[in-house]
Amino acid sequence: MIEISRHISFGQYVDNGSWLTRLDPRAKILCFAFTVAAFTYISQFAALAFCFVFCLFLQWLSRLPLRYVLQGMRMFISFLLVLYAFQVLFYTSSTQANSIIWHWGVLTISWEGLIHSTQVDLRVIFLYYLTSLLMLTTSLVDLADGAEALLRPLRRLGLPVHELVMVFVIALKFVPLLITEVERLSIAQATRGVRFGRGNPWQRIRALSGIIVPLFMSGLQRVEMLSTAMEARCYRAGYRGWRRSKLHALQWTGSDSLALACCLLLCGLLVALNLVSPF
Amino acid sequence: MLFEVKDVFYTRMRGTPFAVEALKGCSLTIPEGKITAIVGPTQAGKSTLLLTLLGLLRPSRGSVLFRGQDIYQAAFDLEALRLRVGIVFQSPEAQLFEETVGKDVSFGPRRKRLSPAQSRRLVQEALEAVGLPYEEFRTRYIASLSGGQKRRVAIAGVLALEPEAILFDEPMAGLDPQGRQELQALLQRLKAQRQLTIVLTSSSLADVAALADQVIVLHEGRVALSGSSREVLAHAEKLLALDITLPEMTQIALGLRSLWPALRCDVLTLAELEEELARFLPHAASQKPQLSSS
Repeated sequence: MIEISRHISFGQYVDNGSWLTRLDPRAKILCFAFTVAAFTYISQFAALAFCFVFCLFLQWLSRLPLRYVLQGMRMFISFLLVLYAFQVLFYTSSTQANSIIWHWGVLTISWEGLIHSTQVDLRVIFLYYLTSLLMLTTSLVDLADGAEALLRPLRRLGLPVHELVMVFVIALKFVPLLITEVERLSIAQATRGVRFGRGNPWQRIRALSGIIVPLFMSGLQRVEMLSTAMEARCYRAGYRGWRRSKLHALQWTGSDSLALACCLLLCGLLVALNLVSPF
Repeated sequence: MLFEVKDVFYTRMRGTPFAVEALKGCSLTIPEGKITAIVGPTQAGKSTLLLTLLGLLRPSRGSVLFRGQDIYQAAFDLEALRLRVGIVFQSPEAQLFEETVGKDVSFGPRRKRLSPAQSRRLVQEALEAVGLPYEEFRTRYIASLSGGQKRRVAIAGVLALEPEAILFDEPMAGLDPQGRQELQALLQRLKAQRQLTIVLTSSSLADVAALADQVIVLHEGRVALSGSSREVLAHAEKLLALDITLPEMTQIALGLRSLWPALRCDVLTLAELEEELARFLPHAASQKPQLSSS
């Protein structure tokens, strides 16, 4: 059935009034950055288990349906599984010779490879979860405002912060748009006799290839429309003296400080746990 | 019966926080060789219903029968159904995906693996049926067409499949009065010349009352009223409450009810309204010729 947007939650924002959605975007982005750094640093299983608990806690805070979030990760995880197979088969290190289970030509499966790849991929899954949670709980406007406010000091160095953030936000905004577009095109082709999701992999890829070119065409058309619309509404970033006023000014409250403090504490604990943990 | 819809439920974005129930126990039949209009306010589930008829959305409950066969059974050939029943979407941009008119209209015939000569004949017939000269439009870029022309190309693309039935989603939306009349004439012609079954959706009875053999009024995913245009128009007050635009004559009759509460409001043409008024205005009967000339 053709209902792709139901299965992709990346880039969607769910305004359910939870504690996470109400946080100041600056606090959320800072927490996100620290957590991502900590998650990237760790490598031991004990620390990974701690990450898992941390994610469960965030999930509880977000009040999002667990099934919905997991559904959104399904495609990513199946992609990751393929990568995992390659990682394991082509894993090379000087010490793996002790733990080889199976060997054929350049392909090897060793305990060390299995453990190392599992650690790496679990980390990637957690990072993906954090990213999608940030987007599920923060509207794009907030995200852009927060990022711009945090990066403002870089303007002194001559970096066009506002423009960079704008480009980033537009790119994100195009993800759901492109998904809807794929849906539209596949329905249009299905009504004229193309069958998706049928036949051998080669036939499936060929059925999809008919979508790519029109997808790019309509994407470019949309970009053109968007730039005209921005110009029509007097958007002129980079012009001297141009400043954009805001309807909702960001406000840093006590709960934002609390969130940031808790996050830093947890990240510290995580790093410490990783250092002392034996496995 | 071409289609039989039995107690169909459908939830859009099921399993997400954005879930909306679009169809809630919808049951209806669509007879062959007739024009059926599905009328309802926005969010009534009209477009969803059309997509379920073609097997493009799977209902969470209930069944859809095509000539007595359940289309959601594994053995049913959905691809064949979609080649026999075409659909024209609301905005033509939603339908055209090739670069040129000729390529887009011939997409269906090419999928059917017809010979180039046959395919060419079908494309030519389809384009001419919608009033676009073949030689002039064959190589035109889709992007260079006007909105009305795109809509016609979309219809031609479906006609080239030689369907037995065509579903139109809000075909009148966004057309000027002349465009509407032309489209109504085209639909009548398709029904008469090709014996096509036509299903169209609309949020306004004014656009379809004169055209449709059967009218089905949807409200919140269920059938609220059904019958011939006249039978449905007899419930004009209920239709107004559902936010459905009524034909001009019905609106006038409804307004005049404050003077004559017994006035019938299932009138479609000026002549019928006049006749109805004459029942209440005995003096007006003698002046009838003057009224008609206006």
